[in-house]
Amino acid sequence: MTGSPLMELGGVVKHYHGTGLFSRATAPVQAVAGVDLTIPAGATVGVVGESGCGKSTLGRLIVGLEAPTGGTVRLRGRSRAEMSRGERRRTRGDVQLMFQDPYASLDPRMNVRRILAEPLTARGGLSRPDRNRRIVELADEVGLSEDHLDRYPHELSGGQRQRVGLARALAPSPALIVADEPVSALDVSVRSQILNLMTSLQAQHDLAYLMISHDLSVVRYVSSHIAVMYLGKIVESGPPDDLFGRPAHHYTRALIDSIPQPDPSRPRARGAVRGELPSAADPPSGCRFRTRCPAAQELCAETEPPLRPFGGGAADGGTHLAACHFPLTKPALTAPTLATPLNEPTTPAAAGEGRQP
Amino acid sequence: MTTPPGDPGPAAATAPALEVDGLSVDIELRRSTVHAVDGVSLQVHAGESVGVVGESGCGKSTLGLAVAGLLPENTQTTGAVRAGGQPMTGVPDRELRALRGTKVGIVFQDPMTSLNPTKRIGVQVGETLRLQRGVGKAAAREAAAEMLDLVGLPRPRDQLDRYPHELSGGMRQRVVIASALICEPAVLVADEPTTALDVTTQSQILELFDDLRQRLGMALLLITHDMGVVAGHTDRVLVMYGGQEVEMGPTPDLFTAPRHRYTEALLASILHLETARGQALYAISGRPPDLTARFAECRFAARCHEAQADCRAGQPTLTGPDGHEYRCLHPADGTTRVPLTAAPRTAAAGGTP
Repeated sequence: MTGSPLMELGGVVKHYHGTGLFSRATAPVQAVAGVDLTIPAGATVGVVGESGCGKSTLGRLIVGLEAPTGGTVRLRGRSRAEMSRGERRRTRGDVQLMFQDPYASLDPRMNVRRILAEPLTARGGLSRPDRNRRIVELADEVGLSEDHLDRYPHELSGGQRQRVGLARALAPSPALIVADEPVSALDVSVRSQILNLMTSLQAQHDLAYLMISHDLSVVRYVSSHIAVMYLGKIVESGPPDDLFGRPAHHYTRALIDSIPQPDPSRPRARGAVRGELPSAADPPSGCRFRTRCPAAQELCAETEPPLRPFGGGAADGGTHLAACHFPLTKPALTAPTLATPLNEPTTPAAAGEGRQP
Repeated sequence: MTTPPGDPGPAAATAPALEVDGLSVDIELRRSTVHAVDGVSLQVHAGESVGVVGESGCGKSTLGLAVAGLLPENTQTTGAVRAGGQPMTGVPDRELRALRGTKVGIVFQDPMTSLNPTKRIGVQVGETLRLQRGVGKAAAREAAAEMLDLVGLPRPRDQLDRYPHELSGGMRQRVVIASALICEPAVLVADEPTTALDVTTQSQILELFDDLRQRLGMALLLITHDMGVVAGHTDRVLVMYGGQEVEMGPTPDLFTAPRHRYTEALLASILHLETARGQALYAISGRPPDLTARFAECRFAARCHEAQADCRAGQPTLTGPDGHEYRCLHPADGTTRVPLTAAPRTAAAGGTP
């Protein structure tokens, strides 16, 4: 654990092949096409993008529900392939997944007590009284009372169900929770409750979150670093203030302009971004965003822009990166020496490692 | 086809496209009755957009279904709904069927559930026209192509023979909107039309509604829980709570000077892009009331931070100046601030792993 970040992705690629009866000849879908990402312990990293950009696949790769086609997913410096069986078993609970729709992810035939007991039983090592004590403790941590434990998912409100989802994710005492749209299905007031709860749990347990959402307000509110994904690639990443205050990529700008502002007096930006996300099976040449980009030129079709630093560049820790030939702000003057995005200043050890070929 | 529904005649010129008058809807369940909508009145004029907001379970969607004449059989309706001058309540089911889609079009949250997966786009969009107007196959197909073009589906003629699963979510929602508008209804009811869509697609669909209102003189009833959506795309907003109207007014007034404490709390719950990281978020404590109950007090009193003894003594009535009414005995006047609920829980358990 010496200096290795909690979670580190290097050049991660995930392809899906058509598996249908007649789809043998189809091109593979590049759900994730070379992503570098670092999640330090106790931090919240946000991933935003439209549906189909690969953000949920990224979450599944991090949790280990999917194996990458290429590149590495390292938990505390060790990839799952390098781990022994015992090590894999010991670290299995370290990364947990929390879903958007708790109703679809909770077994309707189990009451809350059994839902929470399951991950504890699977991990083993707890006596029955200890397990029961832990269940009550988990319920209390997420703001559920003991009599909620005997209810079934259909007897709970959306907010309570999401609390159960959170308690279940917390059960194996994880270091990282991948939260895939955890509040999208909830009313505004319930959303606030869940976000407040997630914030306080993070402080108590030194939890890290990967917050996957299409809601930029939510991602900005919780994250210390944000990666913007487009068609399987990170097109811009950096601290929220840089990303929202001085976006370099036209896609980031477009996403920000698309947010409906809860202020009738504010003028609306019209025509933020046109058209649809192209197919991930046949991404555009060069810059993947060029087909929808207002600033696209010939160069964009010919050469894929690399991620390069913006803002203060290396002097600033090189944390604000964007991949654009004609960015909205001037790139940093320093040469892009670091290829690994999202380096927290606290994890300089990771900075030396280059991108995986 | 793309011309506005035209001059509705001198008599109808001032008549609202949608008129809801003292509408109540009771849903009969096996053991209880849910009073889902309780005495709601509302008018939407041609070209106007009215937002309906409130938490889940406040009667928004039931109101939308009532307006569209789509309430299920186990419902009892009192009051009146008129759309395009045509009564939509108290009409025998057979007549109602003949009206569906011609006076009111409806768009739901998930386009995939509104579309028939086994039918080609062109057939589905033209279907209402064929059924309600007896238009021939070829003409309906032509009208469908024009309508798909109007709602901004790229290369509409190429899409006519495709199936819903071949389209993206945003394109599907455009198809649903096209089918809802094919008979040129006076009113479009949109129930969370963009909740399942990406932000980029959401803004495109909302802009489409704005365009259609201008070009077709369509009236829009936009039901949503997203205050950001109503802020930019409605003229007036109806706030519903516990099946009732608790506040209604011009959108700018409602956002800058909300009167009902529930509206105030909803606005305080919004997560702004500028909300500082880690700042505790305001959350309305508790849940909306159980609508099987009958109320002898303000329905929001149990969750209201300004509730006083008289709030529990009886149900407040609608008051306020013309055009901005509210149902609150101690309305907000901009001098009080919504207090934050307790800071995030600090349980004793935990610590560093």
